[in-house]
Parts: sequence; structure tokens; C-alpha cells
Amino acid sequence: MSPRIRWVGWTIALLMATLATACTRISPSSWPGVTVEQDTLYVAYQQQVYALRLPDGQPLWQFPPEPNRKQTFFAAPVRADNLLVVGGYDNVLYGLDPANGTQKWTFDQAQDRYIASPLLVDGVLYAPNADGTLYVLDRNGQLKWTFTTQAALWAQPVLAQDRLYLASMDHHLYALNPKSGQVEWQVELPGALPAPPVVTDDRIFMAALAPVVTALSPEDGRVLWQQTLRGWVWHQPFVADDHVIVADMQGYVYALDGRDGTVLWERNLEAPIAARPARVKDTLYVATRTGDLVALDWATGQVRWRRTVEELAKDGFAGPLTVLPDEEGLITPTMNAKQFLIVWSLDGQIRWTFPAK
Amino acid sequence: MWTTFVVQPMINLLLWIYSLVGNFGLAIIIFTVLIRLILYPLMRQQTKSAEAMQKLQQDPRWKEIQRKYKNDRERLAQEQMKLYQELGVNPFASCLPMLIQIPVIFGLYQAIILALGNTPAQLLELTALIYPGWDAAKLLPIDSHFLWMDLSRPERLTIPGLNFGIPVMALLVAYTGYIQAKVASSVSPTSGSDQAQSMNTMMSYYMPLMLGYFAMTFASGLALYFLTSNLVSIAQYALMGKLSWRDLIPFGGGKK
Repeated sequence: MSPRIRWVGWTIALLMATLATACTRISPSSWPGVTVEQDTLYVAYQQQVYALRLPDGQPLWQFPPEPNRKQTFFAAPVRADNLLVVGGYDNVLYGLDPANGTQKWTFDQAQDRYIASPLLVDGVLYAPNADGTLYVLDRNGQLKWTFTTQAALWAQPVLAQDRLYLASMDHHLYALNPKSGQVEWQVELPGALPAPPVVTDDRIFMAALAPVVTALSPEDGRVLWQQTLRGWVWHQPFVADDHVIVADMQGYVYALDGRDGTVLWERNLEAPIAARPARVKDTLYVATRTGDLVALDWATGQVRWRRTVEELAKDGFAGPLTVLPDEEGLITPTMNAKQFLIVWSLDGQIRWTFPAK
Repeated sequence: MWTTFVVQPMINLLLWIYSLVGNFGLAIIIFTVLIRLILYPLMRQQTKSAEAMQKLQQDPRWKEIQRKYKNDRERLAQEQMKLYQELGVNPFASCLPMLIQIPVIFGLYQAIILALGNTPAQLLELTALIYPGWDAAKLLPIDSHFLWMDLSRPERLTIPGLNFGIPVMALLVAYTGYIQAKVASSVSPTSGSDQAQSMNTMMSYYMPLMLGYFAMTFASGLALYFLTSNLVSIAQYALMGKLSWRDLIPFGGGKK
């Protein structure tokens, strides 16, 4: 073989290898969905839903028992009484027995994947789907009614004060009658809405894929205030003590006054943030896309400590941080398939990971 | 580096075109025409090289080499190479546009998938890749519907009465790819029997099959890119006077 022919052959092989690398980089599709109920942690990730025992993370069961390439799960499961509901990327909603993961029923009328968690309240299941439709079912998986928006639904609905609030990727927040699905009001916001609102007695706080946080009136959706930020916000705001905490993709954490949106303090963590922060006592925990868990002073935003997980430098934290029962620790979902769940003590020590290292 | 220099500019260009036309399918078509215009000088060079090769194969010295070393392949290759260098002919020039398309295809595939932001991970990555300084918030999420297709998913046309979908785009990609290859080979040298010639032939006929397979299995936004790219390429050959009606018929022989 002449050197030039060999050169061309190597060039083609190199380009093919580049294609393979380029195409395989786009995975997985999301971060794990996590729910804590009493002494059990339910995790939906890739091809299985896991029930893990707290506090040590020992697996109790998996659904399906063996991984199935056609089924993937990322939306956090929800549990009420003796029912665990989880939506799949196979367009199917599954009703499971939370004790052992046995399948009780399925609902397969949706046209797209379930990215959002359903809401299960008083025997009624509100299941938003990426086909833009909210499917409302009874606890046996029988369809009662639907409500359709103009784009995908990625956010879990919120039921408060006898209204169902539904955030859509069509940039609208809808307030619905939870029994009939009739629209009471709707409001257009500056960007797509991948996360749910936070509803208090007299305010709705909503972040968007736009550099702005909005406070609305629950009565009629009227905008009460808007605060401009530096970057887009991926997560549901964290609200406590009249503080509204948001963190943006430019790496800034903001504490806003819930009454008028005034910035109380802001802190630059110099790494994009997609995960919803969590608070324990006077400490605010924030996790970055580059693998840092940072503890901030709730009142001032001063950094108390920072822990870095080197393996997560490229595929760090995303999804909401969850505080363990009795404030015994913190769960951080990651985008790293080798350790997609890290459980921390509150002083920043890793207690265990799942899968175990 | 790949993301910064290939995928990120492509995503921002695609989104910018989308912000102008408001339709992602049209944005892909316009983007593809732009890419083909950028690659046009290479295609022109390829055609010139092919014509030079044809002329070379009529040269008495070429024929003499073929006759003299017909039983010594290594020496034949050496002598051919000498003659290529002497006459300034590049026997691989006709492969070059195909090869340059490959990284474009890879980059475009990632750009389309990320721009469509069909899953949280893709949209999260997209938000980190949008250049600061322009208001892209109002563009997202991209409307992925174009004609009968969802550009974020593999395409199948379902017809009432049939219990399976027809991969129309994949068939069109393979067909137009074949036509393009046929036209390209008709302007390529015909009498050479060396390894470069077989390499060119292999690239010309396997690539359409490979692209058809990609069009069938990957997001149909990529199939739309392949189809547009093939049609623009065929049109460019037609403008250069290299296309005959016989080329449009599969297995019809084409212009020789």
C-alpha cells in the first residue's frame, strides 16, 4: 500500500472516530430524579428506578428488576400511601408498589416522554408530559381529563389554595381549577419554564430560562415585581423567611427580598449553577456544575467552606438538593453516571455515593 | 476545543438563522446552503482535478507506464506518482469535499440535537453554549416540527392502512447521494485502475449508503441537512454543465 493511500485511510478512520466520540457525548439525557419518603430514598436514573434504604443507601429493590434498553427514567418518583408513581422516557406512566417495586398499573396514552414528576394529591394524579399535555388520572391510572399547552411540560405542578399551577416550556404559567382543568388565569414570562413555581400565601415566585425572577399575585397572575439577574435560572427558587434564593448559570447566588425583589446579598461562585439550593438552619448549600458543594451563611452569603469532587469537573451537580430526614445530611444528584448520587454530612464529608465507589 | 470551535459557532449560527426565519427546518436548509457555498471552491477544485486526471490518462507517458509495469504494481504506483507530481495532479482531490463534510456532519449533528434541547441535559448544555450578548431566551425551546417531521427524532412517514412507517427522508438521502456520487464519478477519471481510483469509487458509493443509514437512525434534522446538501451539490454540478438526465435514473449509466 502506498504511503498516500495509507494516509487517506488513516484520515478516514480518524474522522470516523471523531464522529463516534462526538455522537456518544450527548448522553445521558438528564440527572437522577430523587424523592425521600420516611426511611426510603427513591431514585429514577437511566434504565431503572431504585429504592435505597436510609441512612446507608443499601438497595431494597429495582424496577424493572433487570435493566431494559427500551425503558429509561429520570423524573423523580412520587409516593402517596401505598402507591409509587414514576414516568418513563418510553411515554409510559407506571404505578408501583412502594414496598417491593411490583408494577400495579400503567398509563400509555401520552405521546412523549415524562420529564416532570407527577403530583399525587388526595387520590388524584396530575402527570405533565413532554407532549405538552397534563394528564389527570385517578390513583388506578384511569384518565379523568387533560389540559394541553403549546410546548412541553417539564415541571411538576403545584397545588395550593385550591389552584393548580402549571409551568410550561411555552413560557406561560397557568393557574387551573384542579377539578375541571379550566384556566383561571395565565401569564407569559420572559423564558421557558423548566421548573415549578413556589407558592406562598400571597406570592408566586417563578424563575425562567431568562435572566429574571418574577413574583406574581396568586389571585390573578399580576406581576408584583421582577428582578433582573446576570444569567438564566434552571431551578425552582428556594423560599424561606421572606428570602427568595436563586442561582444562575453565570455562577451567581442571589438572596432577594420576597416582598419587593430587592437584592439582599449576592455571591459569585464562579461556576454555572443548575441545582436548586437547600437550607439547613443558618446554612445555605449550593452545588455547581463543576463539582463544588459550597456552604454559605444564610444571612450574609459569606462562603463558609467549599468541597470539590474532582471527578465531577465536567458533569457536576444538577437537580434539586434534598435534605435528609432529621437534617442528617444532604443528597446531591449529579450528571456523572459513575456516581449519580452523593450523600453528604452537613459539614461537607461524603458519607456514601450511589453506585458505591 | 471541538465544542468551542465547531459545535458552538454552528449552534449560534443556527439559532441566529432561526431567529430570523422562525422555522428550524428552514434554518437547517439555509445553514446547509451556506456551508455548501463555503465548500464550493473545494468542489470546483475537485472538478478541475478530475478533469486534469482525465487528461493525464490520455497522455502517452501514462499509457506507456501502464503497459510497461503492468506486472509490477509497486513500481507502477511509483511511476504514476512521479507523473502526478510532474504534471501537478492530485489523485485524491476528488475525495476531499467528502472528507471535509464528515466533521461538518458531526458538528451539525451535535448542533441540531443540542439546539432542539429535547432533554434537560441537552438544553442545559445548550444554555452554556449560547454566546452572551443576544437575547436567545425568547427562542427556546425550538419548535422542532417541519412538514410531517419532528426534527429531533428519526423520521418515518405513516400512511393510513400501513402498520409501519416509511423512512422517506432516508430513501431520499440515499437516492440523491447516489445521484451526486454518479455525477461526481462521471467527471472523475475513468480508465485508471490504481488504488486511488478504487478509493475514490469506494468513497463515492459507500458514503450515500452510510448517509442513508444515518438519516434513518439519527434525528431527522440531520437527514434534512444531508438531503439539502446533496441537492445543492447536484445543482452545482448542473450549473457547471456536468449533469445529464441519464444521471437522474438509478443504474442508468450516466455520462461517461
